[in-house]
Amino acid sequence: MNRTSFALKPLAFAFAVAAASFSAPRETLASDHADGLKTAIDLGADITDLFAFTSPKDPNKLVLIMNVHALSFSQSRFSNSADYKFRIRPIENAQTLKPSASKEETVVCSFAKGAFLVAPKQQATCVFNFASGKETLTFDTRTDKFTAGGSGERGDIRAFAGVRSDPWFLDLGRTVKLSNGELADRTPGKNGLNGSNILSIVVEFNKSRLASPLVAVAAQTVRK
Amino acid sequence: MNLKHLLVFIGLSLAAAPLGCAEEEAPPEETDDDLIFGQGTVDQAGIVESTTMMLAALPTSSQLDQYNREDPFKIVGTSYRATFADRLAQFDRADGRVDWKPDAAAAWADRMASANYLVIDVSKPCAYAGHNYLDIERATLTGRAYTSCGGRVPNEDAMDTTINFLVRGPGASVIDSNALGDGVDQATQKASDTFPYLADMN
Repeated sequence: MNRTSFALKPLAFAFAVAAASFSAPRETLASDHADGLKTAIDLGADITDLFAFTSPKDPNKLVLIMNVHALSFSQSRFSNSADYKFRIRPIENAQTLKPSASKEETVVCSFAKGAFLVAPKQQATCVFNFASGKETLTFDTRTDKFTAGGSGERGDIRAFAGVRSDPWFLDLGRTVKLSNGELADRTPGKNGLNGSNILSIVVEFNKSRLASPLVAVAAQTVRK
Repeated sequence: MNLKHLLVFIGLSLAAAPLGCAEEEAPPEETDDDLIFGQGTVDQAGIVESTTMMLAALPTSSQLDQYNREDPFKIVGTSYRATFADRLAQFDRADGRVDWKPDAAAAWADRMASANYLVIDVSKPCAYAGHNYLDIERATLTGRAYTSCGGRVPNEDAMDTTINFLVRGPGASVIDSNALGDGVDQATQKASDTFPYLADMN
């Protein structure tokens, strides 16, 4: 273990404790933000939201977005020791919406390089594993094109990784009350995530690559 | 950057100063967090509020970490089914009515206890200014045909959809005169229609 890694590990721990103290309150940030004690500490692998839609610019493309790290700022980076997985399975029974137990296509993004707090630029590698074959995109997570992000593309596949505005919105107090059985009144609420940022992975590809038009999509973070 | 972020940043900056790590960069093959967090699945996501509303009232519930560590397509824990069913029944009674039919409620509890995923039909159009989220599930639970792509579009109010789904049942609309909501209708910045869709950082 060299001096740098020795110094960074207590730093990471300090961050984890600080993050936990701020992000494991009695009120949750949901929709999936810090939804447990472990994910409230392990923010780099804490999924906050998953989106799946066809592109407004090109309906022939499927867009998948996985957001993590509900306390992101300009220096935030993805974990180098986690795989960020989009998992897609065909739904074989339209009545039950039960996905296939065996067929699966994936997009798995992983990260390397960079350093905690001081060097946010990482090298992202996203592997698109379709039934028709495998393709890999590699790109930097900080480029001049974005304030704090980077992207890569080849043919119909494209990926972005970096800091974005958190798209989730809710009134925290009312949500907690509802979670305990109390309905909110109809007056305007207050967005508890106003001004928040997340780390986002955005991938898109031709929907013709899917095994079926009706699919199930899940996001998963796995520490290696 | 809001106050919470600022406090975290200031605290970490102070903590970092005496450690003297700013002048050196970690070698590419090393990670800075693997010793703390171990290995295996940390989190999985599909349905909005699958954990913090549907599985527990508070983020300190012991079931949450366990559920987060499950394979989203093969959830094996046996304790979730009863909790999902109980929580759904509580939400259903919140407005003084029981809207969920027993078969539909059982089907939803079974679904959430066995897997956690979004359903999207890419052959259908997505309503970028409307409602797609849970459309396919609601249609299936009520025996009607769905019209949107389902899935989930960034600007749609998935919290309001969730509230109406849980409290008023799968047949309830999120836009009718009786619709419930949390009173917040959009994020800090709206997503755009161009890649990478989500707005630039605040």
